[in-house]
Amino acid sequence: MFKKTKKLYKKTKAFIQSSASGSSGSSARSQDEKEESEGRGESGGVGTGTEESGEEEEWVDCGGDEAAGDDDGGIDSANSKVDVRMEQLLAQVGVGPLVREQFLALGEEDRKSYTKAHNVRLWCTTFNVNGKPPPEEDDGGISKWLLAGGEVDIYAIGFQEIMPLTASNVLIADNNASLFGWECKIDQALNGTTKEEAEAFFQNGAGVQDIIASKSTRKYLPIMAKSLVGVYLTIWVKSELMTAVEQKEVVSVSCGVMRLLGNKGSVSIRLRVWDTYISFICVHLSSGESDQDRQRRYWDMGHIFQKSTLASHSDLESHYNILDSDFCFLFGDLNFRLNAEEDHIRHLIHQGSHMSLLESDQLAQGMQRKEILHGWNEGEITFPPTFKYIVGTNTYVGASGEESLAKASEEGEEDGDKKPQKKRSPAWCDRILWKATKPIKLFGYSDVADVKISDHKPVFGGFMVSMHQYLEEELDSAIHKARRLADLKEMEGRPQLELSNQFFDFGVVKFDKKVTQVAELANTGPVDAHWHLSVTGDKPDWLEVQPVQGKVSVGKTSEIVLTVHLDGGIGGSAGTMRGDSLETILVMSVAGSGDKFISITGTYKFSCFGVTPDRLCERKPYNSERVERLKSQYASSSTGTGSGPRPGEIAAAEEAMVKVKLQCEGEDDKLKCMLSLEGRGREGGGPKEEPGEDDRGGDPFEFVPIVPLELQNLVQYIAKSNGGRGLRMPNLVISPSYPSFETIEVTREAMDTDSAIPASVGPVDASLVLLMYLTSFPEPLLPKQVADVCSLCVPDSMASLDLLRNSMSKTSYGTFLYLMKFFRDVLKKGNAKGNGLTVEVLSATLASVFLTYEIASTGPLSQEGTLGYNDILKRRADFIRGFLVNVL
Amino acid sequence: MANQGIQPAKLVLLGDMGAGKSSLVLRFVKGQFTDYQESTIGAAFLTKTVPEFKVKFEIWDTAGQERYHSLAPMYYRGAAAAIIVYDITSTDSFNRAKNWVRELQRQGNPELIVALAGNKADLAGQRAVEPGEAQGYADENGLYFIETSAKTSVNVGELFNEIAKRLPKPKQVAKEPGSGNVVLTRDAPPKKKQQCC
Repeated sequence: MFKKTKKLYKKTKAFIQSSASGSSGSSARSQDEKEESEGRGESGGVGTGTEESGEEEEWVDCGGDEAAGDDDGGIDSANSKVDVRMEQLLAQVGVGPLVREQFLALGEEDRKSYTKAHNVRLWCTTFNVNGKPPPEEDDGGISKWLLAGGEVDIYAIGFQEIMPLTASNVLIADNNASLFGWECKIDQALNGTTKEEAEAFFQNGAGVQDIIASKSTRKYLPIMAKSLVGVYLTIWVKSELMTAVEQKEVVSVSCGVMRLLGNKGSVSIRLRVWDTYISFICVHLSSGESDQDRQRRYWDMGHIFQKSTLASHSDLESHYNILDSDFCFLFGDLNFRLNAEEDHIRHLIHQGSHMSLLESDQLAQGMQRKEILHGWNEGEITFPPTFKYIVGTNTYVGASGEESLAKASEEGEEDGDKKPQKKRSPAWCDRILWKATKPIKLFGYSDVADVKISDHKPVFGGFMVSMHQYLEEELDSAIHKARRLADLKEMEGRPQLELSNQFFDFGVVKFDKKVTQVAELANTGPVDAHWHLSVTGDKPDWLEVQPVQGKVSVGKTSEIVLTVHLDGGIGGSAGTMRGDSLETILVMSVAGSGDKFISITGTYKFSCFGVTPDRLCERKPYNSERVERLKSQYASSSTGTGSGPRPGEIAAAEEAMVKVKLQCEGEDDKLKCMLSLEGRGREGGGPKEEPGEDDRGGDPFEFVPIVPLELQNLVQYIAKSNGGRGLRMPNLVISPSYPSFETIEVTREAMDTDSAIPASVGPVDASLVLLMYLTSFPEPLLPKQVADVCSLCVPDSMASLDLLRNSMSKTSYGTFLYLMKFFRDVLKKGNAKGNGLTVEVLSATLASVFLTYEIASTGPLSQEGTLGYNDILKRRADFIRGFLVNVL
Repeated sequence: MANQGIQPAKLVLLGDMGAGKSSLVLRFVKGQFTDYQESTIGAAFLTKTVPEFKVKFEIWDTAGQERYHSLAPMYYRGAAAAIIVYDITSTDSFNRAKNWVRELQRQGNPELIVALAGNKADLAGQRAVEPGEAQGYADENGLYFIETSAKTSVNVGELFNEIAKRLPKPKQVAKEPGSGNVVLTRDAPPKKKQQCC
């Protein structure tokens, strides 16, 4: 990298060297260079606050940006694009990572819109004055030194040993006299003031604010200065630029004795000019020619950078380092020597070919080996070593013939140091380096041979830098634009799940008929989509959704299977239906995105299956019309037997209707009536009025439909089928062969429509459909109490009746008794002979239908101890048996 | 730290089907308008940052169809603001807007900022709801009222900006120390016990 910089600056020439130096080294400079540089000096003045488009093209980007990439192996591009100030501004308005990304991605046009460039000429110079005060009366080359840069906007003037490094000066505070003298000298040189004017100016002790307020007519004004014993840094700024300096920070680091005292160290100043941060680091590193001394200088440098932290003046909590700037300038007496034999050095210098000595320069070597100041740049050195001259001359100490003289003068000067003076080889101790992330151009790097008051020569570096100012309004609108883009990007970046359909109409759905539809999901977005389904309220029992959540990868599809199923049995979904409408809305939430609604609609074709007798009677009210229809059906169907509608048959339909007063007296009679099922004529009490078709709406009696007509339809069919011998059919109720699906459908259809069950349905099949019907109830017909009582004892028939009457609805009660009557018929001698059923088999079968309650595994306690599973089943069967046998 | 200041705020749009909820949102968020906006079957989720007020709106644009009415609470629950949209050319939609206002009032969230937007202001020739009537209703019920046009974008920005302006300022209490306290109090009692014994 160092090499590269050298190449870049082949064109850069020391343009100020008007004086014919008396030293052997200086004579190497050609007259050509001199002329060219003078020409440059005239045109070099650049007005501030203007853009020079013509200049821009020539600019060579030698900033540290690219260079820094060399060692860091790739800085995050998003980070490297934002300078310190922009980082602050973005943080101030609360720019998150998404917006930041968009902001950085904005085009050149946007960036130009909010950035105003200012070309500024900086003049950095360093001078180890060897404790000498400025020349009293004459200029001593000072003006030539300071005005060498032509029209300059900002001066950064660094001194070392601005006062002799005596013990008292090191330990005691600033020697103001020296600083005062030099500042006055600078004022005189830069502003052309007289000594008196300059002294008056500084004697006032005016602060910068006062200076600005005083509307001084001076061309340059000191804006900040700081000393650390011998190290002194003062910044002078062109007066019209004063208002552009928004922020000033200073930090000094001591590297000297005990690492606390400031005989060696640094003074650094960071300025914010417009929105550009510039750091000036003025250093004086440890001296010495040995390798240990060189290591010490490395350590000093690292220490200085590490400790140069700035307490931020902004409202942010973070602290900055002096290196957190767009432009960093490091200058001073770095004290690096030449790794060469003294004789060799002197020989080459004597020959005037000192440039070949650069190869043995410790700093250049260290930088090449990446041991120190990695990422920093230095211009090409075209000037002779800046140290150590015999004061008042351009002759090196120790040069042939001058040795004794130098020795004499040294001993005279450094009276504080008792050690015998070592001869020192010439070296480029005084250097200027830079590091930048923005366009910068070096236009001069040289020593000033005319200044002879010290054993060092001053060294200066002139830089043209492009400073930037962020225009508030324009930056705001660029950030707004970035926010808008980030919002859009965020939305585009959201998961996108497309549904093939959001409406699923299942049409008319029959009992126990599964209907399935499939919703297809397609991920059309840029990221994987995670989804889950939910419903408001309870999920309907009749709907099965598989799966209810999942992930669809980018570009992939997936399916959701929706199944509507109204089934019977314990807890069946048909039993939970209220009304016929199947309607629900599933909400499909996609993580990080919106919700989609999936509407599911359909109509349940209500069936007598799957509901309790109570609900069935409620849904399809018992009315004379239906009764008449049923009567006529069996009247006509029984013509086969030739007997016509018999009074008993007609009565059987009507028996289903038991007139009950809510507070009924004469229970026994009524029970007899109900059990005998011989008709309402037997019923005692209550006004006897026919529930005529004409006054259905205003019955004075409460007619309770006790047996669903659908059930009666089936039961009557079984009894009457096969020429009235239906009950005699073998395998009735217990046939091992299941009726066909069609048979079940046809029978159910006939039941649901109060129409005649087709003759194709045999009595055995019909008896099995009857069992299916009874097991389709969503809850067992007999209440839980019955099962509970059964685990204790089997009640006698009267107690059983009481139990049922008190714990069941009238419809369930009636239905149960009606069924018991039927099964008693089945067991009648004549029938049982044919169907082969026994009371044991039938009671066990019916117990499992009517008392389908879970048997607790531990078994409840009775007087005899713990009952087994079979004991309980047997008790339940015995309970039913009571109704099949005793009442007969 | 970088995103300090920008607060998320949940905003829900309610109103009759076809009142222009989606159009208003799309105009505000994307600056787009289409004459034939598909009806929303679901709840579209969009975001937009309003840096002037340090708000990032998280907008839920809900389905206006009656059948989805029962799902609305999922969206307005926990919302910081609601915009009830009606169509100025439809008295029905205005009446339904009033129903929405009543429903939100029943929810009893006094923090909720409710705005009433009379949309389709570009169709002034077919106006059925007078602005004075709506303004009167809004005043009675403490709503912010404005007539908007998603088509011409008139007052769309104003509507959202006004809501942003009315949102409560975020409390400057950091959450993390609070959660840290839980850990501390959990740890503290056993230590005390040890000391006692």
